[in-house]
Amino acid sequence: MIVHAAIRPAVYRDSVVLMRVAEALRARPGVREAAALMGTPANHALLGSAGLATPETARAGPTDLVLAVAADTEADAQDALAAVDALLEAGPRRPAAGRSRPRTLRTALAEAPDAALVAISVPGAFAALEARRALHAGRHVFLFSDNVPLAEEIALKRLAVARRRLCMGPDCGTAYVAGVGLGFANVVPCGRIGIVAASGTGLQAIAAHLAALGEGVSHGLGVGGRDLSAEVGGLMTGLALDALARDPATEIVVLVSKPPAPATVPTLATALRALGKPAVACALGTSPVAAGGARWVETLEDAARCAAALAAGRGFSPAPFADPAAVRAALARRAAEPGRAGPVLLGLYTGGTLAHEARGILAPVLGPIVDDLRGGPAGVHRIVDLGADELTAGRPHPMLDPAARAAGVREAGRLAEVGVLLVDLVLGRGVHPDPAGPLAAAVREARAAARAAGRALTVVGSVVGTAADPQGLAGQVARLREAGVEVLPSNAQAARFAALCLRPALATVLLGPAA
Amino acid sequence: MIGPGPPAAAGPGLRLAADAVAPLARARLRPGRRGWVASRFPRTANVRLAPGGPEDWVSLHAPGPLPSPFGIACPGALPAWAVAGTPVAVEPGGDGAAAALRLGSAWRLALAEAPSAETAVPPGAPPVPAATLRAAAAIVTGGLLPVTVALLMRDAPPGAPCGPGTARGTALDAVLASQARPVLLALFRATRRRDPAPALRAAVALLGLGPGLTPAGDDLVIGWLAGLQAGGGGALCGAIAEGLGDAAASRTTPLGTALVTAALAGHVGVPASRFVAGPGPVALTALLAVGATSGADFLAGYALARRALGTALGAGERGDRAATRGVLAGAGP
Repeated sequence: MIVHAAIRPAVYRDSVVLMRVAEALRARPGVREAAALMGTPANHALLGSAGLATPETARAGPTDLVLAVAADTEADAQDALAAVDALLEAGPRRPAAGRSRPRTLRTALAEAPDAALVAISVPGAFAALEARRALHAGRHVFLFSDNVPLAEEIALKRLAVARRRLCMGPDCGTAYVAGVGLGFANVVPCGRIGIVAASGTGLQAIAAHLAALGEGVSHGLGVGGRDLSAEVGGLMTGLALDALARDPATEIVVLVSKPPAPATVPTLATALRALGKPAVACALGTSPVAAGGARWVETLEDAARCAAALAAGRGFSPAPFADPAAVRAALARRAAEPGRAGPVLLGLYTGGTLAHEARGILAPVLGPIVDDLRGGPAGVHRIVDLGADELTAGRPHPMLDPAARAAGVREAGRLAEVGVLLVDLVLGRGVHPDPAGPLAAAVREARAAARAAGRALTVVGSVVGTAADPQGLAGQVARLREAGVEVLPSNAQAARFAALCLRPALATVLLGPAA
Repeated sequence: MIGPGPPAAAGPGLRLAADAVAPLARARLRPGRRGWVASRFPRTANVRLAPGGPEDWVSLHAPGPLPSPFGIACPGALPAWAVAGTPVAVEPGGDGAAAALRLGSAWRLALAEAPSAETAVPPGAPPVPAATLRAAAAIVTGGLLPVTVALLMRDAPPGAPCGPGTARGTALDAVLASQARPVLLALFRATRRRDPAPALRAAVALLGLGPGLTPAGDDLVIGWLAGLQAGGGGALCGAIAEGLGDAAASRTTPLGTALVTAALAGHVGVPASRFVAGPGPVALTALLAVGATSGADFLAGYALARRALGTALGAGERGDRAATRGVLAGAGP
């Protein structure tokens, strides 16, 4: 590890700028750690403990700004420090000219009296209060906040139903309202397919698949992951389905969720039957529910394909792979890799619904799959949602900060039992500007570590994204492929490919007889 | 360093009236004083009045709640030309008080009619609800709040960076947390016993520690001082005041020293003062919006002091480290 430092005497930048400079330095190629702080005595000790002290830093005083980087090579360290002054001078990220930043809901509503929807992203303990205020003010609510108590959610949704206003959430990661994406949202065209989703990444995946199929979204209404629980009883799902039934722009309706509580199924069935429009339902991880009024499918990709087929007046039949020949070629590449592959699958996901979908596909063919990093016996397959509440308390979601997942990928390269690593990548607005970059770098390191130990590590993934997303779908896919990731067109296909890697005998079922 | 100065053809200049003036700033703006812009940020210009000691700072801020205890709220954006080195002068009024602050020669801010901002720490303020601490800890990364909350609450967020090897935040965050943890523990114990010597040692060790123009440790110490003043620890605050003020001069940045000095005098920024007076969701949101982690670090120190002062010592417990650790592990209020 090479450590270099630069001192800028009497240079003062506010804390937000210093934090951004340190982040930007850490994101540079080969840089492992970086600091931008004042040269106080306490910080000298801090730099020493962090392995960032140098003879230059020792000379800095409390009025000097210290910039230190630890990098893989001399060139990486020098390059990073060469960028320091430009980073320090870079302007702050400010709201666009003329845009105010009201500090209370009342002020915001006074400034925008015509606003029909309030987006709320405050700590969960306070979110219900703001949501209640918005509903009382006659606005729809997009409630991004999580950790809202269940009793509060029920009360909010009852209030929303009484007032005929949508309460999307809590813990609603994504929504599309009349073409406007809220939260984590891919850039998708407006269209004729409406979606009700108790799953943020589920909504994103379906919208992105629809875009690839040439279809667009009229509205995508998130309802929060607990809406179809027995306690909440599908209050918002019912209202959202009713809204789409009345919406003239919506011709086809898609419902996506994790398995609904049995007690909510009759309500759901009634709502689907009452739609009066063709509908597709996907309750991940469960067999088709005996509820009429909709075509039931088992994967997010199938939900999109089925909806597109219904919209076009075509028939739909699911298929394990879009391009079996490409899958055979990828399996051949894997077989040609030197080294012995471990018997275990490790899934490291940033999208909770995608992780859930993969578990649902793989458990029947691989056996038990645990959903955390530490529990369960050795040698068990694991698929972990790194965005789960218990792993993100006090830190950014992995869609925003890919560092935690990248660390897990690197670690996987050192685990002899892991033969297949399964990942997702979610693009769109609101997420990291280049999520493939850190993931690709970590995959390279993991595969190199495995190779050095005489093992083969297959990395399989899929990307939720569109060509219009800020990150660019094609470029992100290319970066992953260059790093050695086998990128499949959907999460379901990626999971099936992972199954083929570990259970080659499944090829006859999933791929049919070889040509 | 002298800045480019205002436009030459500014004529009589722009005449504005301040929206609010902090009491400390008003006391410092004596007619005839001169100074210079010491540091300039998009929404703030920090001014040092001669001779430039820790009690000679005032800050000019763009509209909004004053983040500094010696701040002046301006009615609009600060002039772009008012960079470091721009001269500052206090104009006298008819009654011997300051009439206006002049930046360069073209920008004049009337002070006389401006209302006073609420920067004083209100004594006897309510304690911080546990839910508020949890909510803050759930959204803050970096700085010293996560490690402090992990110390104070048994149900702190899992994975809080309490030591090396934990996964939260950057490696530097983990090192910062591991260095700060024993010091925070010592500060809690000393505050609980109202014991000035170890409290001073711990507070001094935090000065200048961590990222930020006012390092995270300074903000935490400022919050701790506010917690002492609001929670019945005024005697302890008085006992360590001189030592802490002296130490700050050599242990942290000049601005950090000025902020600690103001806190010792019972003044903090308006978002912090409002939070102390009423720790509700709106006040918390405004506090956490201060700086990168400054507001969160203030909250950490404030909560530490309030919790320590609100935790009764058991019989024979004085000096019993294990018992104190038990309180930290979850028996607190």
